[in-house]
Amino acid sequence: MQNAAPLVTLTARKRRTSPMRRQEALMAALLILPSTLGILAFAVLPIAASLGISLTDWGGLSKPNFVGLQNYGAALHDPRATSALSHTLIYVLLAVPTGVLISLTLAVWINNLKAGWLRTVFRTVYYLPMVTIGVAVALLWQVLLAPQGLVNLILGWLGIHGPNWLGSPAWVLPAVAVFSVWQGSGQGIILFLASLASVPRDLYEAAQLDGARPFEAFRYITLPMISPTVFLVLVLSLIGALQVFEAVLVLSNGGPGDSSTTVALYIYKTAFTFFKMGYASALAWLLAVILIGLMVLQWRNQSKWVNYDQV
Amino acid sequence: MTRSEPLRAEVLTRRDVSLKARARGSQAALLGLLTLGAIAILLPFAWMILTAFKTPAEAYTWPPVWLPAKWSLANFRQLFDTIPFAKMFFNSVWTSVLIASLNILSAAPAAYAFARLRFPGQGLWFGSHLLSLMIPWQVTIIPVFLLIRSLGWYDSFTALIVPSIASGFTVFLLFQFFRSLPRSLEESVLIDGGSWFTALRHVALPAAKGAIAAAWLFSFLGNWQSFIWPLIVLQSSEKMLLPVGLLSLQNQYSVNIPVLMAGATLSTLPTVIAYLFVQRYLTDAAITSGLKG
Repeated sequence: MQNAAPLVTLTARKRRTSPMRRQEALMAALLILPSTLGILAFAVLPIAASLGISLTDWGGLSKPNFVGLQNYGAALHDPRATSALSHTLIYVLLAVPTGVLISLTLAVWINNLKAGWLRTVFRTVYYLPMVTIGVAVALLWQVLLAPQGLVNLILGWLGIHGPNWLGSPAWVLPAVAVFSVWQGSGQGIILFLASLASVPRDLYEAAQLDGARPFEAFRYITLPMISPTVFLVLVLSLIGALQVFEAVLVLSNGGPGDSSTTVALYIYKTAFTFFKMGYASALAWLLAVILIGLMVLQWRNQSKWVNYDQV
Repeated sequence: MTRSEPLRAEVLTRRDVSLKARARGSQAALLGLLTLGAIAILLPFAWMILTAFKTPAEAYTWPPVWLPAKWSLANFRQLFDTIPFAKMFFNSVWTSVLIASLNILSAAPAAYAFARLRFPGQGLWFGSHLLSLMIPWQVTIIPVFLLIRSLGWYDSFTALIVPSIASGFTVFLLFQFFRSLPRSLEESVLIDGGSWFTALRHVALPAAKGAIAAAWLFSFLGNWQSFIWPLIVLQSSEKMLLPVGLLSLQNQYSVNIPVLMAGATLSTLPTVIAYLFVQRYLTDAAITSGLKG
């Protein structure tokens, strides 16, 4: 996955005198200055500011008052926050496992194609939705998911009477999940393909000589070799799904009622429709804690799983 | 011995033939399954384009008609009459090009310094870049919005561009590249008495052309698709970008599906067509983006 930085101390460097070193530090300062200034101003400081704002009752216009952890307490007792969380979790359960499974299956199929140009064709096609404007394809799916849209037409051929996807509280989250899987499986596919390509061929040849069936080869060679990537894709889609925003905003605007209002949409509306900046910041931090926890989990696993015999 | 040999050969070839046939059969099965999947991806796009040429009446019939009776550009004309679509398109293009270029200009030198030089505070500054990758947008967007507003930049392109100049992801992507570049060439420049700057300009940067192109494309695409920040800081219609413009079209035209699809088609096709030419570069960057953990 990632090779550690070579810690070569070079003869040229060893002989370097302190003015040289100072020159190097000065040079580096100049090189990193523009990027670092931007990061400090628009990422690091805002993180601190956001923590501060979350401890106030700021409405964005009036003078803020310090209220301590009151916003965090309010979030736990806010029925709309709890329902937004439950909608998000339902959506995660619908979209993430399906998405990972579909990506993995398609990637394994593509990888087993013998013709290289066909592999390229399918990889390109499956990644297509990822290069489109999200709002545009969400509008498209709004049309496809209409009661008399293409999805229900195709379901009708199979003898299924399709629901009013986006108009019923029961079906709106599954509909958003279908859209997200269609839109996002390409990301998982290319990550899996990159990982599958790094599985040594001779392992398969050896297995074939031992008379292993294709499924056994997959179960005992492929899966263990690509398990870090499976975990990576799982975490990435979890992080993405927990933040689902654009899809629900465009497809259903959180409705009907608030049956598809997710955490990210609720935070957005709290901040930019109701201007409750303090409360919205507290909600954002509660979400951030979950997301950062997932990332830390991923890092830990990555370092545990690095396959040293592949280097 | 001798008598069994032709027999064994015969058995072998027969087994070979059956294996080959099975392999051919499984290849055909794979092709069939993958084609079904490809149809699931492509059919919606085809539907989008077909609908863009239909009359509203045709778009609402049940069962739906596949082909428009008459291929007319009326919906596209109506689209350009209703919203300043051309202006939005142009806004999206120039801002995405500018931001992607500024991303590279600020990220390439920084990535090189983090990968190659040793200086005080290195871990801290690089850590700040990584931190910007980890923190979800929900956290930073509120303070950055309040900052922009207090600077008086609300509803200006400055508000869109300035916060986007530094890109932690682009730095990370190019850092990965510079780290994997063999040092020997740069060293020979140093040994010949050249400076780090000469090594950067004449060795590392030319070698990084491909990685920089990939990073630029990825950054362009990210800004082209970016939605939440423009939605919050840009208000006037002459400053709107495509994604937000399409959303406003939805509010005005929720009942006229063909016009909506005309807008969706025109905003989708350019990147899709461009992608077919540069897909390899983009895929490389996309893989690295998955590995940013």
